[in-house]
Amino acid sequence: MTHHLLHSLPSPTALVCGSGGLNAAAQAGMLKALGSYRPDLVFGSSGGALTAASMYVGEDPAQQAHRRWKQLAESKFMHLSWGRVYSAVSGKETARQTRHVEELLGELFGDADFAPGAVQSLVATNLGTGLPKVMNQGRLAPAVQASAAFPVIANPVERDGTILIDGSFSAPLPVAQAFEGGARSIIAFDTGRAGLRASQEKHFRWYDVALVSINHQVAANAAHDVALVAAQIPVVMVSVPDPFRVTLADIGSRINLGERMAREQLAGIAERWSSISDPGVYAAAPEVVEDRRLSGLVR
Amino acid sequence: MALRRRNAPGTSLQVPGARPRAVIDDNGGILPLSRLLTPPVWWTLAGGGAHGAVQLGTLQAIRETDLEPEQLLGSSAGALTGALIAEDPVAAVNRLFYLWADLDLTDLVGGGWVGMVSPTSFTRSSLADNAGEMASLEEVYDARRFEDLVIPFGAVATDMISGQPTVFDSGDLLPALLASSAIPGVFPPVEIDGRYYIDALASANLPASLAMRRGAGSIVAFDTGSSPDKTIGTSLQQLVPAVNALLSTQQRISSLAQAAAEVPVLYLPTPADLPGSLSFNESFTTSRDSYLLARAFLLDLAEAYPTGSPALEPGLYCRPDAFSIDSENLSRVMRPVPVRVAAGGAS
Repeated sequence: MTHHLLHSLPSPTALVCGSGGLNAAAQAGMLKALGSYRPDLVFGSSGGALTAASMYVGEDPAQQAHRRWKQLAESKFMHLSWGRVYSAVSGKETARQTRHVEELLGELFGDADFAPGAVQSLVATNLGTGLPKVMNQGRLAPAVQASAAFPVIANPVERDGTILIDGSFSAPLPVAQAFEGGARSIIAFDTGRAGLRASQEKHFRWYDVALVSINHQVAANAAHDVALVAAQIPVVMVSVPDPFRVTLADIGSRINLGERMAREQLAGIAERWSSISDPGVYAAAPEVVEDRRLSGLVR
Repeated sequence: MALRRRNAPGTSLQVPGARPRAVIDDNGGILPLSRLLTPPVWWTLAGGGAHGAVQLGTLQAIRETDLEPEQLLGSSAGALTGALIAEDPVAAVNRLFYLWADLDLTDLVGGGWVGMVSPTSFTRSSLADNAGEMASLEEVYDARRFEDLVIPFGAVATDMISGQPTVFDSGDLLPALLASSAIPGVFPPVEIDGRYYIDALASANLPASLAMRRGAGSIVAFDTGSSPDKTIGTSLQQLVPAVNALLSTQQRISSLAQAAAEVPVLYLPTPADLPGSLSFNESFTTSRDSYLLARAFLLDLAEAYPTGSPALEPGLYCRPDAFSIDSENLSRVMRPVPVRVAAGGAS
């Protein structure tokens, strides 16, 4: 039923993989829920860059993404140390840190290039202009590095004379870039929304509040972009909220959760719609359906 | 500081090139602009810390026109200003003038600024408490409930758990103002009806799209201006403010773009060369510069759409150079108003 629904979307259909840090690992499970369905275009930003970059490197994209997220879980990449915080605060471009990231991405993607014909795009933020930078040519590894260059965790990346940082600061869910790239329908993997529990708030320290505020700002920008694009074309949204402080040890369970939630949500949408062609947001997740920024657009 | 800048050469309160008002209209010198806006007219006020002083200047300029708010919606510092307008629209300009002249950081965070960062600060839920701000609010406002206000007013805050923008427009006024301006990390989240709220900056710092969704026929947007771009650098001290500015610019642009696709939005110009958003002692020059800019813009608008023009269609009516960022979303809706009148002394 879901398969039939996805194939009814006006083509070309873009798969858009959003930000969410390690919570974006859920996207590997979401891909699995799509089964043998293949989108025409794929866009990724920040954590979603890892998923989007895995789409054309082998036969089974879900398996490819799964393998890379698991590899990341076993690396030391996300290990935060005082040394790393110090090097970020002092602005010292520690060659060692950059080399670690480059080695890891080399292991993950080798010398693989973007798929030909601009069907695969990764988005970073140009620090100078504040605008999204869409990359769809050349080697994948350095593009993933730029798209996911979140301050403190990874250093900014220089490319074509500009400084690039994490895509979540300009296009956390790059639906607008997919629309401009020709997509006439979108399947969006929304993993960047804060999914906090009310019990958490009592234990929040001031720096948690500040971090959650940044998370909410990023999610607000994603919701606004979806609102603008969904007024023009249909956007199917699958969502797994970020519970805050996902660690490397959680990656496996996030992948499983992503698969389960995607199956449930897609089945929910397919129950209401046998085919989709009108503009709007198509979603079953409560946090999307109840999102006030999308009111009037959710079908 | 203010005196030195005030007497700087080249500073003048004249608006060179402007025709005398009597020639523009026969409205007793009051610029007739309400004819251009479809009711109900909502004024939306953005947040921005000490940059809120910009809104004193734009309010002074708009008081020289016949524009009146039918509804007010404010975020953070804009909520504090909006509540004052809603409480007494006639006295608001003068009250704001004297408030900003006095205001400094200690009115908000109390005297404990220096002790804020200490070994124990890592375990606290905020760096400062909000007792100082609450005391200031009790002193400034006479109203205690939204229902006491003369003009319908809403304060926007962010639900800390869901991240959703939430509009408070009934019941107790002061806790809502406190929540709307609870700078994340600095002030504690505010509990209202069993939920926690933080500063509107996290969800809707310029609530234009919220006003549109709540039924505005047209919108006047009071923004708060910006500071000049710092050198692009890759250290955390350089990245954090850069990333903050990016996120908030993006938020206001999408909010304006969404609103302007449906209704006319009048975007009053704001200075782009402001000191930091915690520099409360520069508010005199800040408000003066924005008064001059906004006044010139309103004169330009009156010239571009003379008496007899139909009401404005949906779109974003602004100075051609209002936005430094080159956004597709904006260019779709922008209706630039040609600049004829130089803003004297605002350079």
